[in-house]
Formats: sequence, C-alpha cells, structure tokens
Amino acid sequence: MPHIKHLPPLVKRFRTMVAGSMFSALGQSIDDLARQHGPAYGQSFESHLELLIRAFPELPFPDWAVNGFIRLNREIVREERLFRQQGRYSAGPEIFDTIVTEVYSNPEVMEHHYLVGLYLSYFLWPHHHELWNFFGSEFLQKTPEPERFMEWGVGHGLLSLAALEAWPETQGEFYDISPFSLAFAHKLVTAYGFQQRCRLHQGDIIAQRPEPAPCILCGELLEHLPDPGRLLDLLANSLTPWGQAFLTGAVNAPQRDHLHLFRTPEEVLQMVRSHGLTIRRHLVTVHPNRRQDPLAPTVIAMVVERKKM
Amino acid sequence: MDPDRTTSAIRGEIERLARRAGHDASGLADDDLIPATGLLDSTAILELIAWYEDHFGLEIPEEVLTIDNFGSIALMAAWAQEHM
Repeated sequence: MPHIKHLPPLVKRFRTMVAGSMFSALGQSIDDLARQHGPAYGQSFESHLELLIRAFPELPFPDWAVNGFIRLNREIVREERLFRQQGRYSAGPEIFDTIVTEVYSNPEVMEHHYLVGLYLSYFLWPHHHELWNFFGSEFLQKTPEPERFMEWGVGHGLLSLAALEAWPETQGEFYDISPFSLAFAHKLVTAYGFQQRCRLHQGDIIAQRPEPAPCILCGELLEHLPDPGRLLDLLANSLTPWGQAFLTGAVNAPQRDHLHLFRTPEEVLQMVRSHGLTIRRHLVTVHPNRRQDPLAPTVIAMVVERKKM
Repeated sequence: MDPDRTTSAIRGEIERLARRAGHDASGLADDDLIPATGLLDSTAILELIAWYEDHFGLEIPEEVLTIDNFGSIALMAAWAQEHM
C-alpha cells in the first residue's frame, strides 16, 4: 500500500500509536483518506499536527492528540447509545447554563480532549474532512478577500486559521463563550504567526451584538444553542449587504453539549432560509460506512448571504 | 456473574456488531485479538466498549483501555469478572 508508506512523519507517528491501541481500525480511516485524496491529505494533516506541536509544546505528542481524539469519540458513542434508546439528545435547551459550566468553562474537558478531538476530526472522520474541503473550495476560494471577518463560536480555531492563511490582509475577530476555546485558538494562530491579525471576544455572541462584517464563519454552533433561530436572525443582520457567511449544522449528531436536535438536513436548510438568509451552495455529508443508517450523524455546510429585499 | 455467561454475552455483542457490518464473527476464538481481525471498524469497537460499560455497570478509565486488557473476549471477560 504505497500511499501509507509515503505518509509524512508526524501522520505516520500518529497512525502508529493508533494502530497499537484498541482502536487500531482508526488507522484505516487515515489509509482510506490518503487513498481517496492522495498526497494533499497527508500534507494537510501533517501541517496541522506540526502546528499542534508548536502551539502546545508542553503536551506529549502523539499521546495527547490520540488520547484526546479517542476520548471524544468514546463520549460521542455513549451519547449515540442514549440517543437511539430515547430518541432525543441527553441535553436540552433548558440546561444551557449547566453545559456552559460543566463543558465550556471546564478545562478538564476543553483542554484535555474536546478541542483537540474536534480539531483532529477534520482529518480523521471522512465526512468532516469532506466538510473541510468544501470550506476551502466553496467558501475561501470563492469569497473575495474581506477587510475583516468574524468567527462565532471559534472553538478550536481551525476555520479561522485557514481564513487568515488564505486572506493575508484580513483581520479576524474570534467570539466564543469559552475562555478555553479562545485560548486554544489563540495558541494556534500564534504558532502560525497570525496573532497580530486577530482579536478575541469572550461571551455570548447574541448578547454582544457585533458590528456588521462582510464575512462571518459559524461552524459547529447552531446545534449547541437553545434557540438557533435567534443566532440566524443575528447572522442575517450582521452581514453587510454583499457579505457571505459559512455556516454548518449537525443532524442526528448526539454530543453531551448538543442542545437542539435537527432530525433532517431539510430542517436545517428550511430554518436557515426562514431567517432572512439565502443559501448559495451547500453540502450534506455522512460517514461513508454509515450511509445506510437512518440515524447516522450528518453534517451540513452552507455558504449563505442576506436575502435581498 | 458466571464466567461463561460473561464470555457468552461479550461474544454475542461482537457477533451482532460484526453482522451489522456484513461479517461473520462466529469463528472468533476467545483469545483472538479483536482489533486485528478486521471484524469491527473503529466505530464498532467504540460501541462494543460503550455496551460493555453499560452491560456490566463498569467504567473503564482511559489508561487501562488497552489491547493488553481488552484486546480479546477472554481479556474483556476477565476484566469484567475482576471488577464487577
């Protein structure tokens, strides 16, 4: 299998540790993605592992990354078992404040596995990797370089990092309710040398009501909110007239901190359209091994703009 | 729980998960290394571990979730017997 032999060194180290674990089949995901996407996959994954090492030199590689990814996956599978038994997410809108305390304000969760696990999912889950490629080809490449962009719910910072790299003159504004997300994203952009081009804002984006911008990134946020419609209203009102936003939604995707259950991709698309936004392009994707499963977690990525009057 | 019933319950769950992926795990020996057989993909192994914790009422700490402790039916059954 030549595509595996030629994996770059950090990816190979990551894969070797995975291959020696109970979850050795995760190595197959790396092999499949390398086969499907060719050398570009390995190079991209390598550069992001290298960045993680530079941003977090005190943490052991690959142990921290592998263990974080596995722990996140264990939590998700536990939630999936409950979801299949109960037909709903274990969390709901009424416990948003509890989730803020127990998850977003908890360094044991955020720093230990949540952020690094989700970051790596873009290189290890085939459907997230497809979403990542869609973001690059359908949003970054097709959006004129804006003067500034905002990312709402910056999380691990992967999308903002790519935007700062693609648009060398652009300023980024990172918003997140979690101080640990902002710190994680800031370490990554600092490791890349982009720290002078970003500003951090901690708090609830809906309460902050930011100044309109020509570009807004909003990945992995809708399902975390008690009322995603309010965020969509804010998004429609925060884009300048010709501005564009990148938005994602998760369907049947139980996680400890997912509060709003979208049951079909159409439900997400319909909600977005009914809140003053036009969808220019979109992608619906699911893990290839789970396409026959009606309850398989599904992600939707959209390029949207304000509806013209 | 009777050791044979423990083993049998674990085997039953592995066979169910393998069957779902179109594999026949009936020939799996108690000492075969499960991750090496290719019968279960990574999601199925995660599901097996989640089922194991629910079924036996056990929580497996990350640091002990290794092939040396859980790599085969026999090892999984032994850990359950020891910790139930």
